[in-house]
Amino acid sequence: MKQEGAGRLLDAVGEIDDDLIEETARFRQRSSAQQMTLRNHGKTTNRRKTVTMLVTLSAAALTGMIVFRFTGGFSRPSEVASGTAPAAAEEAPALYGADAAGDAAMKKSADKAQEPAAASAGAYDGALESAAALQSYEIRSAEDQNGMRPAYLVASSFEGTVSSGKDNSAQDSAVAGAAAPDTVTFHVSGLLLPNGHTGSYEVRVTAGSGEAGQTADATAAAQEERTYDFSAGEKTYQARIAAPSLTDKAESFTVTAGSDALKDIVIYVQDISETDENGKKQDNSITYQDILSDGAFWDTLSITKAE
Amino acid sequence: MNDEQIVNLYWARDEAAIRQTQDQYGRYLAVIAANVLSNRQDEEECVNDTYLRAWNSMPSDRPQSLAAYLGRITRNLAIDMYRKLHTAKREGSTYEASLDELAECVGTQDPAETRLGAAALGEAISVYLRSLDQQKRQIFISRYFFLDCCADIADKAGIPEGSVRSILSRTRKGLKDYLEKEGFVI
Repeated sequence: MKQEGAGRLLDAVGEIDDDLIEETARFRQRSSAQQMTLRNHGKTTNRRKTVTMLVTLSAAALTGMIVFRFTGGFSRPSEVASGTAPAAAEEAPALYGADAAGDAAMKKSADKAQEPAAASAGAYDGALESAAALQSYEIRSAEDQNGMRPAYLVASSFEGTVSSGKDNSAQDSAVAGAAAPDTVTFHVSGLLLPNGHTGSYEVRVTAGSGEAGQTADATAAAQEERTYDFSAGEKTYQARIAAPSLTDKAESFTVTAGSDALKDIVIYVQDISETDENGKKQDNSITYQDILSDGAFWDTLSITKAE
Repeated sequence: MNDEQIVNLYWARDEAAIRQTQDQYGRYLAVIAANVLSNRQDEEECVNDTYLRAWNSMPSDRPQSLAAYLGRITRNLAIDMYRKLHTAKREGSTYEASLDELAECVGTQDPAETRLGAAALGEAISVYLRSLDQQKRQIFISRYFFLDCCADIADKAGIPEGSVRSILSRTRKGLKDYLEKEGFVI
């Protein structure tokens, strides 16, 4: 009789109100995403955190090149970990995989990334320590409308080279906002995905205000250097880069800024799946597929001049 | 595409509704089915049956939340399928474990004359769940609606598995007390 009663109770739980189901469905989706964050970065802290990249402008810049590097992790805000109130109904598609919602979230992220942020640890290349003039720039991640950072998979190490044929002021303008042509080369090395995972990522570069210029699409195989003719005008530049194994790949891409400054670099990681050591896709990849259904992964690395 | 747009496709008898549903909710539904069923083919069949059921029920249904609507269909189909496949023997599935746990909520009184319909009982359970704080409610629903295992729930909630079990145990007892107090007999 107890089993029959339990069966009836289980059936009755299947009839609870929709809003309760929806609330928990959202909790499960978000939590899956957080798990991924923690897996990738090995972080357990609940503190909100931003990452800072110190861009060093130095005497070396006079030769047309500076090198920056940051090593950082990402975490989640405590209000998410403890369960946030259900978000508005119109946000629901983002939880289950609508691309449009992902794009909207990205835009919000890009907007949000313009806000000031508290700095955390960063590092710069020791080779440039002798710089005569040092300036710091923040590169930080963005958060979505719920205060949650959905960027699970952005490189936990990120190396980049900012190069220019111009003098130091031109170097400055490349990242700070003044009008000057420049070329920025970023080298994203590995660590975008944990071992055994594959996926692809997309890089979106946004110019600051100014005249809109030409943009060029570029889709190429992994590890091929891409040069993007890039001009300003609040334009988002997109290039999808398929990487069969991001873990092992290093991606370099070059952004040639036209008449204005580089504003945002967005790395959009998607199509994640897990494979075993033989490269065979595993059945349990559903976890990652679930997270993918959140609308893919993205992060905004916003370069702003530090005050 | 949002829920309303997808539902409109169903109402327009546009087969794109199925594709959109599959794209946006396919994995979510597959997890629910997999929590109950252990066979990949059965899971796929269950999810496909969900699409068919949705196609046949819209119109006339116009759900506000497709996650809840579709999740409920998949869950109930999966349980039905499980029961059909396992009438002769009991296996150590999440479903069976959930059933054993919920047996704690069942009284000893013969329910023959007082048996309630699932819908009415579901309504009562909803009222009880609303009296809980959000975390306890989500843990309970994860376990007994979505049939997630305790370890997964613990991961998702960011608390130890033992805490999840304790919360579930207290919640079940609370549910039993509530149902008895309200005069429900299961």
